Order: sequence, then structure tokens, then C-alpha cells
Amino acid sequence: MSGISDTERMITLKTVEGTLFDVKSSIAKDLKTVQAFIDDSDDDVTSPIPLPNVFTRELSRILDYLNNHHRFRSGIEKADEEMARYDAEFAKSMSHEELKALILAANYLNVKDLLEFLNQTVADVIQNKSVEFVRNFFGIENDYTPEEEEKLRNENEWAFNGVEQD
Amino acid sequence: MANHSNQIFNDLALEILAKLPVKSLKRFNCVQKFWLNLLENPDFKSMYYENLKSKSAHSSPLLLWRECSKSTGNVYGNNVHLLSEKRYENIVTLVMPSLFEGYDDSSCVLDCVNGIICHYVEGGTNIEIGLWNPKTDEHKIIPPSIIINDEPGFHGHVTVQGFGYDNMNDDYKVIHCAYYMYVYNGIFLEEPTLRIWQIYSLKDNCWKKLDLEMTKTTNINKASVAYLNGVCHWWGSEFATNGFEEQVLVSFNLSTETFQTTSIVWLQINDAHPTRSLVVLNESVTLISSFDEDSRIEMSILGEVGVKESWVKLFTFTLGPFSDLRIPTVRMGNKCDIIFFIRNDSNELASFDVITGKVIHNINIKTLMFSTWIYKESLLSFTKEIN
Repeated sequence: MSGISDTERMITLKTVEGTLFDVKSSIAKDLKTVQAFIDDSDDDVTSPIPLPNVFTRELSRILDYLNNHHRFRSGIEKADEEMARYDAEFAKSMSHEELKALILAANYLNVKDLLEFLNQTVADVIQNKSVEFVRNFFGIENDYTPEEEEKLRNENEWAFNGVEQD
Repeated sequence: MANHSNQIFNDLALEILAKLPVKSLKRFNCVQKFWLNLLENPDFKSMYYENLKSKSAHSSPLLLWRECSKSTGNVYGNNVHLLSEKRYENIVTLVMPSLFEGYDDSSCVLDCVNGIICHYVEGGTNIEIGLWNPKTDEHKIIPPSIIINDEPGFHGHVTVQGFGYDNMNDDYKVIHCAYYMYVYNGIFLEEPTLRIWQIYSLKDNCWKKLDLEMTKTTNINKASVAYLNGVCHWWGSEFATNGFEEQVLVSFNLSTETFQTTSIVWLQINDAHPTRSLVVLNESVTLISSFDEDSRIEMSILGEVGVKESWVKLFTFTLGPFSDLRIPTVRMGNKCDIIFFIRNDSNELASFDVITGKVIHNINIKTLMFSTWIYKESLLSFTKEIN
């Protein structure tokens, strides 16, 4: 259709649960995986794009983040402070499980800035935590023998000072 | 979580680890074998470096002081500059106020903290110290300290050691040391046998004697002091229990006015005697060691102040071709890069990449000796604070 600019076009995304989300194409550009799908399609994409790895809860959060950041970036003074406040609230509002789920979704959809922010958030969470906490968080099995681990702990004793209680 | 997600998450974990301080990384060595000594893995080191770069103050200008020695005829012009833009191409020359009425004294810059520059001119028993805010163009000459020493035969020499911000008391402080060396028959004896440390508080506008036996400092070069988060760090040397003199990092806390030392014995390799520069990288004290033998430079981060085992080697690279790396002033830029001379025979500066050791940008400045700091503008007015 002539006369309609790119930013007005709406893309429809479908989550695992079947929920449909209408997204402005300017926002969809930040979902690089989706954008690649659109670019690869020969015709205009009219039917909903299925996202087999993304749940409603995560997509909702991601779109919320992107919409807000687009709003902040559109030229208002002092947007940096507002954005920082929004980011802090956004991070705080999630449990660790939700944070992990969101990282997976952001990684699948290739949302660079959000992923960067989420990774930093997790880094801040685990920075002063114990080895056990981190294993648990990432779902990692300990493949050291007790002797090997003991030796390592002794060698790096200083690094265990001031660790937060789990 | 399903196993599949766990696997992907494991791969993403490295991106997260690359944002952690070295202390956390060392601790998490114990999580699983794959995470052991990650910093030695070139791919991870690259990720870590990218993170350091993105967290660096690359949007703040770099303050550069260069030695300007009129007496030897090596006049390169004015000596304090602000470098900005991606390739350091925007160079603004600052006119530093003089410390002596009426003439241009070519003072040295000790440090730049929160946009306040501390500069000085040394002269044996005298030292003139000033604080300058280039943004507001306010300048304050610090009143001289009163040191009384009536021991016969002793000759004094004063040197300024540290400048920084005491965040607990909202005060700026300067530390200096008066050395008294015994002169016998006109000859100075090697060891300064008397040291008096004093601290100046901007709030009180006066000096106070510190009742501390701080270690002697090694020959002060412009690259041996660093300020970070309320603590002034410098090189000192101590006599170890075996009678040998060893280099230590002295860390002086400006609010508690106490100090601690960190040995660098754990960093020594064989008989190598590198030249060392002290810098700040990503909120950590970092040591840059230049090895003349093989033109190699090593950067080591201190994981925890006071803990000699916590020096973590971060980057090692070779500069070439250099035949003399004993020049002590290897400094940091504002993009996690190294500022150094472009070639052995040249006095021109350049920015070097810490992974490859290659020149990234030429800097259009020539000098014999220089130092750099990150500059953040300040509106602090300190002349109004004192009566």
C-alpha cells in the first residue's frame, strides 16, 4: 500500500501459548531474529509470526522494555535519569527464575541492549555470592573431586572473604 | 528448567562472568572445571577486555601532563592538555596557574581527582603545592607546612605523595613527606633516616603531622601514585624479615588516615626487574610492568588491597620494536588502552591496544615524560570554603 511509512506497519507475533502481540515495525527491528525472518520473506508478512521458544510472560516484558526505551530515547531532556530508574525497577521486579527465563528469550530473539542489561543485572546479583549459589543459579554440576576443590579454595582463600550468605 | 535451556544458559554464563571483578572470577574457579583460569582463555580474555572497554570512561576527556623543561632547552610548549574524541584528535591546551607570583614555573601534576588538579614545584626543603579547578578556573596555593627539625647535620627534602578526596568527610587532602638525610662531611648518606609525614585538609586549611611510620618511598616518578575511592596508593619499599628490600604498594586511607601495605612478591618472576607504573583500571588498582629484556608489558590487577596473593595477571603483550622499556611512564588512556611512546627513538605518544600491543591511534603530542588521568568536570568552588 502506498503512502504508509514503515514505522506505522504492525507485525503480529505469536507466543508458545498462542497469545498474539501486535508490535510496531520500529520496535520489531530491535528483535533481530524477527527482523531477519521479515527480511528473508519474499512477500509482506501478514500472518502472525510464531515464536516457538518464547512465552507470553517473557515477550510481554521484552516489549514493555523496548517500548519504554524507545519512548525515553525520543528526545526528552533528562531521559537518562528516568531510564535508569525504569531499568532498576524492571530488574527488581523479577525473581531469579524470571530473570533467567528472560535472558533465554532475549537471547533467542536477539535483543542486544536488553540482553546486555540483563547480563549485567545477573553479574551484579552473583558478584558477592558463594560458589554453591552460582552452581545452583546456572544449574551447573560440580565436576571437581572434593580434594581438588579443597586445594583450589585454599589457593584462592582471599577470594572467599566477604562472601554473602546464601 | 529443562536440560536444553540449561545448556544454552551455560553458554550465556560466560557473557555474565566477563562482567565480574577478578575476585569473583577467582572464587568461581571452583564452580566447575571449565571455569578454572578463564582469564587465560584468549576468547574469554577478549570478552573481558570488551567489557572493560565499554565500562571505561571513554566519553570523559583524558588529562595529559607533559614535562616541559625550559632549563634544558627542551621546550615543547604548554604542558597540560585535555584529549577527547574517539582518536584523541581533539587536543585542548590548558593554562595552569603558576605557583610563584610573576613567572611561569612549569609545575608537575601529581593527580587529578573529581576534576581538581593538584600540582607542585619541588625544591629541596621547599615545595609549593596548588589545587586548581580548570572548569571554574579557581586556584588555591596550599599554605606551607611548618616542619621543625633542629637535629644537627640533617638536610631536609620535601616531596608530595598523594592527593585525593576523603568521601567520609567531604574533604580534599594532600599528603607529603619530609625526608631528613644525614650529611656527613658534605656527603649525603644513602638512607633518609628521618621521615615526617604530614596531611593537609582543605576544609581545615592546615597541615597536621601524621603519627605513622610509613614505609620509605621509592624514587618518586610521575607514574608511581594513584588515587581510587578515598584511598591514595603509591610505591614504597620495605625491609622484609630476610633483610632484603622489597617493593610494596602503600595504600593510605584518607578518612581513617591509616595505611596498609601489599607486597608484590607474588608478581616477581626470577630475577626480572621490570619498571612499574601504578594506574587505575575499572575501579581497581592495576600495575603495569615493563620488561626491558623482551619488550614485554604485563598488566596485573589487585584483587583485594592488602592481599599479596590477589594480584591477577590480566594482559600481556609485546611492544615492538623497543630497545629500552625502562622508561617508567606507561599510562592508561580512557578506552582501556595504553598511552606510551610510539617508538624507541621518538618522543611522540600513541595509544596501544592491550591485547595485540599494536598502535591504535597516534597522538599528536611530543614529550620526554608525561602522565595521564581521566578528567571529569567539577563545579567545586574551594576558595569560598575557607575564610
